[in-house]
Amino acid sequence: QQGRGPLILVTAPLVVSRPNGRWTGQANWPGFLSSIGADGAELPVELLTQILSELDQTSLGRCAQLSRRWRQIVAQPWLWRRIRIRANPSVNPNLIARLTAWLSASLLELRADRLIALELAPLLSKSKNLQKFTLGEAAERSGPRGQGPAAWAEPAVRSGPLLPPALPAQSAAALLRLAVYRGPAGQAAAGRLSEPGRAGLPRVFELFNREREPRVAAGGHHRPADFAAPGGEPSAVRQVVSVLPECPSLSSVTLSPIFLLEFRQLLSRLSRLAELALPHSNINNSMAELLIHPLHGGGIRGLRLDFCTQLTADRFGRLAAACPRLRSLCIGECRVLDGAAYRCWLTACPPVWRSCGSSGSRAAAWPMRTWPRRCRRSPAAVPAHLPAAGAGGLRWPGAVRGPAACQGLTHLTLDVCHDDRLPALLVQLPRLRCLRLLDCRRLTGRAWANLRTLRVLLYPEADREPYKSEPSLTDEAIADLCASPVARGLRRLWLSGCTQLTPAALASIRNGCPWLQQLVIAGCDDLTEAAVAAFQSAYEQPVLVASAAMRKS
Amino acid sequence: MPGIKLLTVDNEIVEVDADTAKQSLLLRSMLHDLGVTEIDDDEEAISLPHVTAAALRKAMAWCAHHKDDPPPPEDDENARDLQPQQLSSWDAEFLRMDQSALFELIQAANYLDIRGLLDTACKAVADAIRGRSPEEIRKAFNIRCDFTPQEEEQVRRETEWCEEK
Repeated sequence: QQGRGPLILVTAPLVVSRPNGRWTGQANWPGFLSSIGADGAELPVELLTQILSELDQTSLGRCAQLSRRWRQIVAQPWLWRRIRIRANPSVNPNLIARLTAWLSASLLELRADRLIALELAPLLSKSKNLQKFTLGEAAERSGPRGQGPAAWAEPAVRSGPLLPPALPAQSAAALLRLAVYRGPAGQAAAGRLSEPGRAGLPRVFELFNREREPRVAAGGHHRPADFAAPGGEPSAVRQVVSVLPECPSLSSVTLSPIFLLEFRQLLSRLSRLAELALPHSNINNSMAELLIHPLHGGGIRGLRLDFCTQLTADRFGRLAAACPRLRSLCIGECRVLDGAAYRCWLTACPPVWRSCGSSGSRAAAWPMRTWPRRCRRSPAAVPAHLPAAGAGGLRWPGAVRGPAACQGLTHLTLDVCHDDRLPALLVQLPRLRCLRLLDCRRLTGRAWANLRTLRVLLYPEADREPYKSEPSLTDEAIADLCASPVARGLRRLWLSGCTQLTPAALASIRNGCPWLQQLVIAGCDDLTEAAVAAFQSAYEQPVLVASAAMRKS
Repeated sequence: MPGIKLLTVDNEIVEVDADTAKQSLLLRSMLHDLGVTEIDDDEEAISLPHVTAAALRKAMAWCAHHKDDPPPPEDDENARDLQPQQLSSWDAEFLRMDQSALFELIQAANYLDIRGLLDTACKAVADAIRGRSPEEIRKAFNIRCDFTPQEEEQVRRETEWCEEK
């Protein structure tokens, strides 16, 4: 059949291995061959399965409705390792029974919203491999670092979540992460966890203070110190923390608020602690002192201290230096972070850092007086939150050397940026992908030289609050940016709040950023719909333009 | 590096650059096992019984474009704010083809064992599924519904809980 004799004929069955190594299957060769022919629209099961593994449960549910074959393939339990059940008329005991029989062996994460925990008990008691269980209205990690504290505060608890009357011991043995919400139910749960004789304890514990956080959103600025105020005596926190040391493999802890005694217990007994998040906490100098101990801070890889206003600058610098393995640090809204703190930090900055946020994403929640005065008043005397932002000469000789050691840094947030320092900093960060600038009105095209790797430039409106009275980016600045090499690589560009932009800026962007995928221009009132439509039509690929409701995009 | 000749299932001989071809783990190990260092004109082609010429050319074009890619970055918690992971626009453009060609490419990538291309192409198909109604997916992928109306209603009810409302 073939013109020339083949040198070799490969007939070995292919093994399709899953990226996570969980599933392997052998290609079905007859199926393969038939699928390439006739109607051509069929993929072999293992490839279809790989495609399905990219999908969320909504899409999977729809795929199950396509045909008998798809239904069969979609039903593979390992595709459904992470599920979320919401209380609605379709949730009934039959569903839970079906899920139990179908998924309980493979389930890794279960999230149940507005469900009565009793209903879940059969499923929970059989889910031996469950690693993460969240019960409640609010997402237990609704505020990842990228989104900042605001997102943590937003979803208010509408109905008191109810914990299972007894978390089944066998599932607790494998439970890695449990979010408990404040309130009577949370306290009761914490009490239950510390019951003597309980077999197996969660290996990762996150405790969120859900009762208080809505006030942050509602009332704007909310002083974290208030968390420790009497009247809200967080006995649940104490109870939980007192049992945590019995979980020897615990590696990640999120706590707020925290108290000295418990903190000491926690640090001294948890030898594997790698991630410590204390957002909105009342961590103070004496607690920081505990972390500075090499036995405690030595293993910390991730540290989250946003809104921790009780730290002082020198303590902070020592803290950073005492965590040599730190890769990620979130220190937004810490009042202490003036120039001196940054000096300490930068000189101690370890080379393995990947990400650093020097200012939280919710500057608006913080009163202006906590920002260094000179930074707002006189552009000529910008004190430089970061050395890169410094206007004057090299204030701190060691400062620029600091980030030079952070070759791996990929995410960076800068407050005030100035033309003569930014390039010097950025040129030393070859792997930077995402740059978030809170105030870049003093930048021109010079700043963007040698920054080809950048993919995301964020300049979000909310972060500009302290600078709102000052002029934002102009058309000329955008034209400069788009004429520089960096523009060619940009995938996402946020320009919200840049009220001075006119359609001319869109033209510059269109010419300069061929690969743009997302543009956010909320608050740019001079950009008309027609101009935006024309902008979008100039791209072959769809460009997502968010002009309103940008907080959600 | 000289080219190597590959004989595709539709009986076409495709000559590809050996360095590029080595991104395919299958071809890499074949070349290694055979000790192929250079190919002269009388050398016979390597037969690839499950790959069409069009898919092979496409796959090699992808490899050529991605040959200098760094190894994929390890998962980083901070990368989350870039989620969901989108295809690069080059890839998205590259994978814009009719669905049967895309499926052929996926099978070729799987057979040739080109991990990156397989992942990327599967993502592209998943993107095409996401957010669509069952009827739209059927139409896009030319899937015949073989449920009886009763079965269809039953499946719909069974999957109701999956919808994120």
